[in-house]
Amino acid sequence: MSLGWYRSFLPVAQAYSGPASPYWASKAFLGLLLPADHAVWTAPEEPGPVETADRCLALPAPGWLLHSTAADGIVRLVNHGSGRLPPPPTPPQDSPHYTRFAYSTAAAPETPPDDESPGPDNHIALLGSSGPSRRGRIHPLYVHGRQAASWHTPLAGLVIAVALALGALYRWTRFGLATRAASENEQAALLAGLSPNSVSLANTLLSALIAGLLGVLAAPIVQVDSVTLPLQVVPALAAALFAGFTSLWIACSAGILIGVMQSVVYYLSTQSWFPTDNGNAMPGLQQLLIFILMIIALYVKGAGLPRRGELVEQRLPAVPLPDRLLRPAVLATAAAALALIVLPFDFRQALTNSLIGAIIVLSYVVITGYVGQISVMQLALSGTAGFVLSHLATGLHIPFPFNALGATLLATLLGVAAGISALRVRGVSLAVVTLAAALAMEQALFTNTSFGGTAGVTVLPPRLFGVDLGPGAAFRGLDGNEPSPLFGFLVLSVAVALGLYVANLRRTGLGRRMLAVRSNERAAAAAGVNVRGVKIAAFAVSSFIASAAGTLYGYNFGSVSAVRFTALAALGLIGFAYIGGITMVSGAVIAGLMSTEALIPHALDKWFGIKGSWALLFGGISLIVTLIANPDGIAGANHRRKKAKTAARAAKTAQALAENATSDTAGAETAPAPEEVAR
Amino acid sequence: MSMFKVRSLGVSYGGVHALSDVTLDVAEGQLVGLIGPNGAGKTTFVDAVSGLVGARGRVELDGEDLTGMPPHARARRGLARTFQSSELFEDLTVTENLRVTAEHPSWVRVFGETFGRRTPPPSAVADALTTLGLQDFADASPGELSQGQRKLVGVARALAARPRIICLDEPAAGLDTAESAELGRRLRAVADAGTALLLIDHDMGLVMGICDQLVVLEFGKVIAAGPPSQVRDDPAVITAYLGASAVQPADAPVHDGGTPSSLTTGRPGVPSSAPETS
Repeated sequence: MSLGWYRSFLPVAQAYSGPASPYWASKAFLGLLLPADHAVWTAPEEPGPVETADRCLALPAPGWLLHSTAADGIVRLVNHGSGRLPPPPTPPQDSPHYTRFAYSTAAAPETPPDDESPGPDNHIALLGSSGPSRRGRIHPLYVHGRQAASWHTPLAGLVIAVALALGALYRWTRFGLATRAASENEQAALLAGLSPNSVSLANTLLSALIAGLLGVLAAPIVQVDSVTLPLQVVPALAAALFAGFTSLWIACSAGILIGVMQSVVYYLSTQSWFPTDNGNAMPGLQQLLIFILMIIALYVKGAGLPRRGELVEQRLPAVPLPDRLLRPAVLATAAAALALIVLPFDFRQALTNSLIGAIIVLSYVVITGYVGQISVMQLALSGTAGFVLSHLATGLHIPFPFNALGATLLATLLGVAAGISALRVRGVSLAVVTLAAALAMEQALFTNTSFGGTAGVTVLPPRLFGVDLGPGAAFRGLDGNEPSPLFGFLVLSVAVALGLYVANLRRTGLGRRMLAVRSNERAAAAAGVNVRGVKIAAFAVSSFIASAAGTLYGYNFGSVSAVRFTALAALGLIGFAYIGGITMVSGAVIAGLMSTEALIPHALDKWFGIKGSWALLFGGISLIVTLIANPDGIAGANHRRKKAKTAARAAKTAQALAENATSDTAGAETAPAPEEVAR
Repeated sequence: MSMFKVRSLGVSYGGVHALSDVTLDVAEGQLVGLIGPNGAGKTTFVDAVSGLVGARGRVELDGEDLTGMPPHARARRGLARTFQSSELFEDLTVTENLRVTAEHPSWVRVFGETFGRRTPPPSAVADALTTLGLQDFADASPGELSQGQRKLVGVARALAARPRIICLDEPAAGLDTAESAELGRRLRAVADAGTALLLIDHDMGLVMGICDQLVVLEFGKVIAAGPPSQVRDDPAVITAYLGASAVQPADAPVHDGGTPSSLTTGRPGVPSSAPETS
């Protein structure tokens, strides 16, 4: 016997095998044992029950309803009882061949092409963008007369089981009690003899285990690639936001409801009336839906100010007051300008990329470093500005610099609008909301061919008074290749101007109010600071900076494409910003040098053959190291070292003075102690 | 004529009435003490009048109704406050902390400033530092200060706004006796200079010594109000602090300082292990 009907056909095969099967199959030949005069061979053929009348037979034991119609001779089986599963407590397993709602003699089971496992078929499923959910265990309810009924939970049932188990764990076990105690007050837990570190480690392991389990379970029904599964974190985070990161029950329900809503949107997008973009359903609506849901959740649950005693997690590096601005700025500018002329073309390009990266990170310095709000959407704003620039320059023929300015302002407006909608959110929740906003922009704007598109749109080079300032300008540097140093100078001047602006911001009243909001929103409000106003101002400034960088991106490559501005790239950039030092302009410069296609990755690639993805891995590891060993980032550590050195020098001078004084006055008590002078 | 009026203030958390029907007046330059056992609703009262907690009732300052205004708007109209745990802006120096309250420039000036215009600190900053004796710490960062100094910076920060009234939430907690007395003298000077003060504290020596009026809260309700000499003999107050059995009519021993011994030691009879959270 072959594994198939007419020929070997694996998709119909079942994943079991037994030596009894041939004997079982040989039962078909048992009739041959009957003698020739047996009624089986001699009785006249009578019409079958199917041929004489419509029939309906209820079979309560297997949970079937069997019926046939005489007119067409078809027999149908409605299944409300039988799967292939042994009875509980065996965990539910997927078995699409056996769990269909209906079978008939006229329909063959739908089978996938060779070598694939059978797909789900003939049941009510949740449709995700990457396929229907599976039907879980069938629980028969009744079969009676012409009716049959059963219930089942889609694979999500497992999620509920996990949630219930977790709920029980945290509620009733000693471990759960320890976890809740440690999360409420680490010090008190420590005094009570618990080790918050081991509790946290155990919880981290548990969460990793659950995430891994879900990955294994979800892999068959979603696409497995480097983007889809990781980005499932966004709807998951939306559910966690509804639950305030504390209630398993709400998280579980919200997660399932969000899944249902996404399925509904997916279903609607297959309808003929659904708006289309270039023949395909309008992209990004699912992401937009999630963003809107988050905003609603946070508006309802959030508060304009943190409540009394509310834990506001705050672990951001200090923001030192810059002592001098002009000297380091002039030195750095001169060095960069020289490098833009003398370096070979590929390094010039990398330097230009670094400068643009540094500008984007400057926007993080304002919003995250100064105001303590983690915004992931900065890169998406850059992308928006780039696309708008293309439309303004190519479509509307608006000349430089008005097109760049217009694009920057429009994208800034978008950033401010997104920021305003998230004013009642702070900390991790804000990071989540802005990540959702970034994804919504990416999917709804960038992949929409009438606005952007993955193929990219052209950006004409900037031209001022007839002079080309773009990468293809006539002046070509020492080696005569593109990109032109002129464009580098343009980028450099924007970077320096914005860098000085951000550094100076720390010295101004607005900067002080931003830091006041970062330290303590309640105290800031009580001190007369308009917290909302300051946040809006910060969103405006940082959106402006990120958008300006976006237009430069556009000019830099002559085109803008969606792939450059993905949410994942944005997360990477925030990582670099932290490594560099997210509270300082010098940190932004360091982060810029490390960013994609910037000087450091380029040098690593060119000299050591280390490719970009390795550099990213290196970046990830150094981020973890940074957060543990050096939370102020590279720039912060430098600053501290410099300060310590200055203090040490002062102390030395003071000591020398004191020694002189002592020798002069021969032991008189007038000399101040060195420590005192050092202060 | 009272400058700061609170009428029928009420705050509920779910079914719990943290404050009900609290009415209170503070006149210009007056120093009013608000006392009560832990959990009586004193901090909630300050949160409510400063707008950090939603409340029923009415808050008036200089005849202007502040009800429904956001906290920063109340602060700019002259209602300043300090916090139990100082809540300084840790990322700013002491002077910068004070400048945040002292400066509320127009948007135009903010714009000018961000393009490089430097402005010197307003004189209120230096004045406030001098009043609290903090001149030497002007450039220190809050992290370098002792608990007592941080409290003083908190008061100075409120004072730098040149407010009409300051609600002081336990400014003396964490101060030793000498520091507390010094703080009392400075607060009295502030009040005498015209800024009204509403002082919440458990240091009865301080409260009894410097306040013009006292208001006693228990379980969110005002149980007594009046001059310190009158309030400290009020049986309801003694019951609130010591329990019903402690009330022995008219024989509370009186010291030279004018405070009954039962009320001098801070918070007798009240478990001192759990400070109110803020």
